[in-house]
Amino acid sequence: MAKNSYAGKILRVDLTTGAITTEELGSEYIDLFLGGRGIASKILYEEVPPEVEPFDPANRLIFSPGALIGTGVPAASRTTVAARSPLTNMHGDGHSGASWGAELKRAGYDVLIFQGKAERPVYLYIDNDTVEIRDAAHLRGQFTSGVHSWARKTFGPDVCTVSIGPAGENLVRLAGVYHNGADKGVSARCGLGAVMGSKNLKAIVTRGTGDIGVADIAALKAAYKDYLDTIAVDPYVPPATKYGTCRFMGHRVKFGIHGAENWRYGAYPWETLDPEIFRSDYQVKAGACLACPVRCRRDYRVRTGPYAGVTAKLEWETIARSMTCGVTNPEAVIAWSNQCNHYGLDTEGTGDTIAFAMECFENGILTEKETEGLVLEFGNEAAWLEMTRRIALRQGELANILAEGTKRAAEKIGRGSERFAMHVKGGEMTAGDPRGMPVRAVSYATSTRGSDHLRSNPYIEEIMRPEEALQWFGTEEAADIKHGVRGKGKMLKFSEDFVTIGDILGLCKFAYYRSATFPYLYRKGVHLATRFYNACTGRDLSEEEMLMAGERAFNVEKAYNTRCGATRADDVIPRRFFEEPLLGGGPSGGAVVDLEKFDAILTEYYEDRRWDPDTGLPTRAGLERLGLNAIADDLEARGKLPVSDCGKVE
Amino acid sequence: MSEQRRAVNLSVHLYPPLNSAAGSDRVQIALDAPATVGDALEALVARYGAEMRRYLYGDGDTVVPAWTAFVNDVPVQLNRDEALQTPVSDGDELALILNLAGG
Repeated sequence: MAKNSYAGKILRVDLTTGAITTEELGSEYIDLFLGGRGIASKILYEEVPPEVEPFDPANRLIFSPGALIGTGVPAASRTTVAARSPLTNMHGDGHSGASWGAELKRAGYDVLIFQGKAERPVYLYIDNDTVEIRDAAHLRGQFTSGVHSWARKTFGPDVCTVSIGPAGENLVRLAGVYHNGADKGVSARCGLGAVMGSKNLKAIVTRGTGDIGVADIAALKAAYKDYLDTIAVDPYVPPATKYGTCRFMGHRVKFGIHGAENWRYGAYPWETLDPEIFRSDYQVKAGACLACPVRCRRDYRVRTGPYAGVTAKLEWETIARSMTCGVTNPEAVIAWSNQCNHYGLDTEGTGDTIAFAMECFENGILTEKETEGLVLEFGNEAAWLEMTRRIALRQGELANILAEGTKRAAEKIGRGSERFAMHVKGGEMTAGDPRGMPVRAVSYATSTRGSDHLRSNPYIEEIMRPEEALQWFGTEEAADIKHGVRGKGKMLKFSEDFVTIGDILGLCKFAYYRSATFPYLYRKGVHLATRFYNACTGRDLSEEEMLMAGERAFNVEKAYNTRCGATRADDVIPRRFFEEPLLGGGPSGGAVVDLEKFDAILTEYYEDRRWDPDTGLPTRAGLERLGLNAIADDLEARGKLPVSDCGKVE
Repeated sequence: MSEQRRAVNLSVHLYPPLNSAAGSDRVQIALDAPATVGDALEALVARYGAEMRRYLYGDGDTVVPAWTAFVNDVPVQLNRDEALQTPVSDGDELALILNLAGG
């Protein structure tokens, strides 16, 4: 039995030379970066300088399972995939549940790094110590589901896979990396499937039969019991178990923040997408990711009508982005999720990009000539599905442009379309509309991988009591959702560091980093996470050190983006949110994001992060406090530290 | 009849997981005037018992702050004790929803 949960090895595959090597996962990785997103961020920073473009063979594709995957820790299921993103041109990562990450660990590897580019399509075969690059010509053009079925038929039902669909092969910048076929999990954001495609890597087939050790089983059991006791009283959990992520509909309805029709409407007809309808009319399976007691995975099937027989794993964000395209037919939503999952697309990015095109169509910037006959109106589900297919295949001139993502598409289309392009740093918008909710607005801006609700906890202000806000962020005002300003920058910084812990350890955000109260949230996300980590690894980190590990990883990503040219000017949300009142009436009707408040929160956030508030650049003092001295040196050498730090003009 | 003796009838829309505790998404409750949001919560606990209490109060004595009450669609964030004093009137609709989004 292994002594702790680290396998102790990095597996490196050079697809250009065919070299397959292993390296020790030394203390330089473990001590400060722990696992998952922490280690992936460090490797990406060290091995992919800004001179390396996303589709350059020198870009890395890094698979880094969370540090606790496979240990039996509840909901420890998440694997980080990282590369320089072809969507944002900055740090990129995506995270997925499913069991592939644990399989890699059982095969004996904590991290898998790809570099170079194969001459022809290949897949990587891993069976414990046997690692081979094999021809994948027969898999060319296959759906993610097809690849997984082929692998299990060929190598046995116990193998796990990651793969890309046609979208990734076609270098669609909205392509994800799919784990165990179409319906188990996807590292969706940042176009990482296109990076995999650029390397001619179609899939990774993995079997691991080794042990993943636990240093102190008694301590793990004790923490496990406390975790179960906590979720037993947290009101957040029962709706998750009953409805899956579809449950978030109620929140959007009551706050009126749908972001429908390309982020114009806050209130929107939603009744056909009621979570109860999905549960009663379409649900065929209620399941869980690896070792998760919350169990919010859901599979749905359409039984009758034009989409009869279609099944799909479906998450709330897929429903939300359907509404962004004006589609409210649940059967079309299931069909669309099925389509994206099989072609290997990110539903969030794809939905927003099509919504952008729909608004262009509505305003005459695009016509049926450009759409090649599609009436690309909001709510036209047939056009929506067809354009999705075309994007995956880059079929036709317009689809080929949209396959580049919203930002690049707007730049290519021009003619005023830029004002309809809803993205942050090139990453399409996600989650709910930020108008009227200041922390949410700023959190979308500061995310290191483009607009993102999972990069922080943009809902944290909604669960805090004033006395808790005073204790943690210096003022009761931070707990006031609509009117507060002071303390919210500190709150955002905390929540970013906090949820990064989950990505480092592989803990699901819905099982640890969302709760109905701040005490439950902290108990799960820091206290229990630290106990689990120490029990599994034999280390003795304090809760403060665990939070600092989250802060460190976030700073590495910030430094990466800084090195790619990002400044404060990139930490901004689309103008629409500042200038156009939210339509549709409802509780948030007429709201805009107050620019003055936005700037004040952002400035406080930078100050609390020890970043320069004028430029948004990291400072030497801030980086060295986290042990990131080498990154400070690198940024200084590149002229990317603030003037006050090095005397150089940015 | 004095104001104090009049009944305040509320239509209450219960979002998950409160609907599980009540066995219904919508219930009617009657309170003595003058009535508040806090009175409505106590009436729900009195009628539906321990499960309702656990969802509304967790393992403590204060309302779980993630609950928001909507009185005729006007939100009242229940993370402050004084919010429980928000008045409700006869014929009002009260909705209770967890402020929780996530993914």
